[in-house]
Amino acid sequence: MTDCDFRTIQRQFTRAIRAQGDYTPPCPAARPIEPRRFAVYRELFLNTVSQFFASLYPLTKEAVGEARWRTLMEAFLAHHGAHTPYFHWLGREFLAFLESDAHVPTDDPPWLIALADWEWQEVAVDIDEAEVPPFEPHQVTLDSVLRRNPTARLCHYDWPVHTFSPGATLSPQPTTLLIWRDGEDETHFAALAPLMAALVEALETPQALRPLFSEIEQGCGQPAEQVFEQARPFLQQLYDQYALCR
Amino acid sequence: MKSTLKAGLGLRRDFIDEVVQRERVPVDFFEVAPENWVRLGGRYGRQFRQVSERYPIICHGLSLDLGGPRPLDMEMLADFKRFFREHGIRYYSEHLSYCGDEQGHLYDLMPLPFTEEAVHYVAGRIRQVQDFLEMTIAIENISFYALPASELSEIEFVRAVLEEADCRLLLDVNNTYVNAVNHGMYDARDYIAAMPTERIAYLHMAGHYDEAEDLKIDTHGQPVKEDVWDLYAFTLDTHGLQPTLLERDFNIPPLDELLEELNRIRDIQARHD
Repeated sequence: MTDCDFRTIQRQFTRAIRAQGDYTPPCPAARPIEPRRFAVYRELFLNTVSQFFASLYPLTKEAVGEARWRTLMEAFLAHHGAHTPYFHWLGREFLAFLESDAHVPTDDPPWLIALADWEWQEVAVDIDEAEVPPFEPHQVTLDSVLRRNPTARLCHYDWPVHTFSPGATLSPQPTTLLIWRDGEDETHFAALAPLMAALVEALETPQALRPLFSEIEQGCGQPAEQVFEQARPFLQQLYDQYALCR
Repeated sequence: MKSTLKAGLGLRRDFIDEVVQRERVPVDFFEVAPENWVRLGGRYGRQFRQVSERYPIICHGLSLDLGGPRPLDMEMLADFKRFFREHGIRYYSEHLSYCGDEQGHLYDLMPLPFTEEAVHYVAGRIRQVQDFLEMTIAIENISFYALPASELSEIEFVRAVLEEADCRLLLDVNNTYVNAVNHGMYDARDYIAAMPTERIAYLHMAGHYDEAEDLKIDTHGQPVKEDVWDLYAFTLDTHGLQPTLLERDFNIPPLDELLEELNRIRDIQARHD
């Protein structure tokens, strides 16, 4: 066996960690490592990712159970190339893994990725660098000019993931969740009906409500004022809870 | 480090509420992993700003991957540079280690093969970081449980990197103890004594876990052990008074308990003033 450089030794080391296998020295320059010592690394690296993701994805973990969770963590370690250096963004890596070919769904529930996405979006809103503007009391009328809170995210799913509870199964249903952070740094979500989802979608930048409701009038034939009256309490509520602002 | 920065504590989310609320926490500085606070918004981002306005902060990184095969993450370093400026941070340390491979990050520290080649490689990367950040950084002697190659001894390896990179040393007293026990290749005191005084930036103190008689795990999850306190006193006997940081990353007790432990650091320091 010819001798090897330090990079080859490193590669052998990380490969054995990723494969959750045994380490064998790749060349005479490399020292043998006692199995119980290598086991410290093998377990440490699996535990590190498992603990991180368990704290960020408690529902996803609950949904698949302990045993499947472990195989997901092993697959993550083996196949995923993680690139974020920041621990508060690490949740993205698990989601990216779930959405990649490295994740073989086997018996995972069909809504697993949607559930995980929702869990991550809540964390992402919580730590979003955008600032929440100070609250000003306001009565929402057709003449109001409103926009979404800069931390708010609109998430569309094919499943009502927000109704998940351990042991329950979900039935498909188009779902829009609005997630935002308020002035006290608390994160909230609300499920939006299709009309409200379309409205809130349009409020990415400040918009006058009247033209938006006029468009709806053309779409459904109901007078704008009437549709607005139906929507007003919920709009006001979103405004009062900081999801919308001026 | 400045002589007013004597005893510091690793800042954790677990007790940042208390740090913000109390009028004054008796620490000279807080240390943070920038990878936990850079580009962080929301409650913790706001609280961090409140802490940095009132206390000196130093940074101890985790993701730089000095010994890893991938190119240095210049985008992260640019974030750090801004963050250091924004919070008046003047000291940054990292690990003499690697934490990833060609595939990506592995989010924990692995032991470098102690070879000449590795010295040149890591030293070159440290210089690149120092040039970019326009500051001298410090590197920490990590704890390790396996020794993948030993063309050089650990002491030779660390000293060679410090020399070639012209950087500072973050001497972790607990790691020295853990490594001395785990590998039986040197006495912890000889190791400490062999470190160049003029390059020491500061010291780390932490607890470890006894997995076996000859296998100690550096968990940062327990109070500092008695043997390590003795070694700390020896370190100050040898190298004089040094700024010292108490690390606690798991099983985090109430803040006052940590401050008690910090007092013990101050007591030992007072005998060396």
